[in-house]
Amino acid sequence: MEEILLVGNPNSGKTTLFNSLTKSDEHVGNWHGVTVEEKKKVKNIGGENFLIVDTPGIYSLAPLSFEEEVSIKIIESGKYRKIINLCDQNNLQRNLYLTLCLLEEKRDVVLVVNEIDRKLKFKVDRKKLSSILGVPVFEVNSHMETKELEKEMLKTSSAKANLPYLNKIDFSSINSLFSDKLFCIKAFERNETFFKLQGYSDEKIKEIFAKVPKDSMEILAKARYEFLDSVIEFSAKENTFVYGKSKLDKILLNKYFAFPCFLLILAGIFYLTFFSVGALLSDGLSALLSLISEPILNLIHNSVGESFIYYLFADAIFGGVSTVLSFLPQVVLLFFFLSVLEDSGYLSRVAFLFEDILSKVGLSGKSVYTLLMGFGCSTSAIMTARNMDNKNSKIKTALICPYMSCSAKIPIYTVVGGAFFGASNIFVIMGLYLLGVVVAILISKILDKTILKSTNQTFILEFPPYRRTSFKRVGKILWKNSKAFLIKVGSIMIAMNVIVFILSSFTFTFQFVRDGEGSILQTIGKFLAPIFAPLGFNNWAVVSALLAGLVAKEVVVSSIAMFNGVDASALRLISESILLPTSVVYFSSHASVLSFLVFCLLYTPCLASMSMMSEEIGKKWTLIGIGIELLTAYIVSFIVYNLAFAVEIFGAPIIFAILSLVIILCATIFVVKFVSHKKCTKDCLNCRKKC
Amino acid sequence: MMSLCDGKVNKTYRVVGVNGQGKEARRLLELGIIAGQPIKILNKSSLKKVYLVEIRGYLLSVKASILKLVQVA
Repeated sequence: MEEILLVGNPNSGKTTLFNSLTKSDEHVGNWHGVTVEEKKKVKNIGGENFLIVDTPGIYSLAPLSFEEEVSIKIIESGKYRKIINLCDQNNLQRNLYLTLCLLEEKRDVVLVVNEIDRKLKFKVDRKKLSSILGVPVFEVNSHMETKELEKEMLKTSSAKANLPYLNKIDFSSINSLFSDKLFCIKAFERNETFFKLQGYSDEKIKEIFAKVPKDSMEILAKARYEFLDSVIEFSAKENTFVYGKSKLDKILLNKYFAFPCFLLILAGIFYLTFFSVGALLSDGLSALLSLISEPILNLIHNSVGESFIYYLFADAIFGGVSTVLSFLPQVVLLFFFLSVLEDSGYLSRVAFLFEDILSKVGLSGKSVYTLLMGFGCSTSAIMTARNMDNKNSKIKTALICPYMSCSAKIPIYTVVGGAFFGASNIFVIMGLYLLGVVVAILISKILDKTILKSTNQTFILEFPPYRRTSFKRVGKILWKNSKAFLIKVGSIMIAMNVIVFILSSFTFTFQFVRDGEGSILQTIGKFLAPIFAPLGFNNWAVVSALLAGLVAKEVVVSSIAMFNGVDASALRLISESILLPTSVVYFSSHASVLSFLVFCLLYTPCLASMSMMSEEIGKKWTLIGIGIELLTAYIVSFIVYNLAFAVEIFGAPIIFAILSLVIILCATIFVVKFVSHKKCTKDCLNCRKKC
Repeated sequence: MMSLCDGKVNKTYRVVGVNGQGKEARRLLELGIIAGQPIKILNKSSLKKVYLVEIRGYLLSVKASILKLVQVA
């Protein structure tokens, strides 16, 4: 099947066009680098099947980050029929710069200018642009009518491109090396990737680059831009406003208000998700589920009695699964808010704000995107670490991503925490999220000092304009995430619950037992439980719940619900009355509950995340990551348990004692560092100290 | 002539050239930071390590250590 590539600058709307061409629902957002891998889908045009390929955004054919490399390798492979080059009219010169790079390589290009924004920086005259560049030019608007464009895809070859500026550049210094002018251009561009793909050795490439003039890159870029300026003067009208500039930035990027604003936005999202709208909806759904499941369970009870089958349905399927299912509104709501945040264009500002702090721990401001998406789902967030432009930062970002408490952990905090802490659970949950972030930053700092030293990170990021999420997209986001959640519950959750149920209801000699006495899972759990004694929960049921949670985090809470023998769904509603008396056996004190929650927050992510991690950063680093996660989970839980235990015994004064100790310690370290700081001359720009 | 990273907020400068032959220098050129273009510093981050600049009618946030490559007048 012949391929048709969608190529263009980051955030120019490639995926939006891809979705409308192929009727797909790929992830889009108002950020540079939402798409980090190529996506392919078959489309039938005029009776012929084509493979439409969506690629990550690029500025030129010389890559700076990993996702750019993906696109450029596809383009250089030449194995496709046509390139559809998407061009954002708000940033015409820079978008056409890429077009020139493609035309220099004599690629078969169809130019598409998009008209998505109502107020455009440039307004192109299609016919004039087409005549001066020598390529067909099309328009797509927000309604995405693509009929005309599809017709063009069927045509095989287009008119010859017109690139007069190339004749003005003096290639005489390397003319003797190459017969093809394209190679001269690439040498002037110092495009290592191109020559490597052509099979040149590193030494040979160095030799070539030594021969081109010192300012070759500038000569070439200047020639291209000067040509583009004349193209635009001929074929487009320019509006005077600055694209992306907004009065909102006066507050959101203000020296004093920027960070409080960011925290306020996050706090708002968490409050709405966990406590107001989200909690209400979840309670409603939970009540509804128990209403539905009760008559069905009664029916089963009447027909088979208190047998294995009845308990399978009561505990594993209705009990366990519906506990998790009732969290649908909260999980979907969280994803919804994250999507709105992504669409808003605010994340680029956040990256700008956090670059200072994050570069200190060896990350980049761009990591903010990955980390924030990690609050939704680690698996898809880990993949976005490709935005990074050096390997160590990419690995670090991927490794610390799981510490961002993902949406699958919401049920654990709400059910287990809610049963013990009641109304004050809001502080526990906030504390857990905060702890996750703090641990992530600490781990990154430690990795940066030891095995993953960061080389000089680049940070070049464009600011998109602020945008509202359209109503059409609101519906789409809600539907897409609900569907994903339901599929997960319907497949992996039911399967895992049935497995856990069977393991906890049968002995090694296949005898059915209630209450897990002597069951396979109890034997394994009891064997492992002593390891967790220092953390305050050496109970087989809790330990096996953690084990089951390795597959998916939601299973932790459904397993606990199952072991408790809580029938039907309304665990959250009746948690105070039913879960508490029995669960006291599981958790000896509030301290042990806290330590359990912390362990759940920090220990290894689900199987899907782990396999994604191994795909992105390799097996070796994934294993190291798992080791680090288990270690930190154990250590931090141990500290939390003992601290909380001390508070329970000695009361509040111990907190002040510990706090003052920490403050004294920090002050000492600061003073020692301040006194011992030597004058230096190196890298004064990146050093805040005054020498 | 000076480096853009020594520039002040809310001041417009004119690009003289981009030094260096590395990837970062190439990217700055690709983004349209070419000799003769006006460039304005709009904001600096709290520790002044990242600048927000206006070039060719759009906004770009760039690390100060990279903007060091940009010579302005």
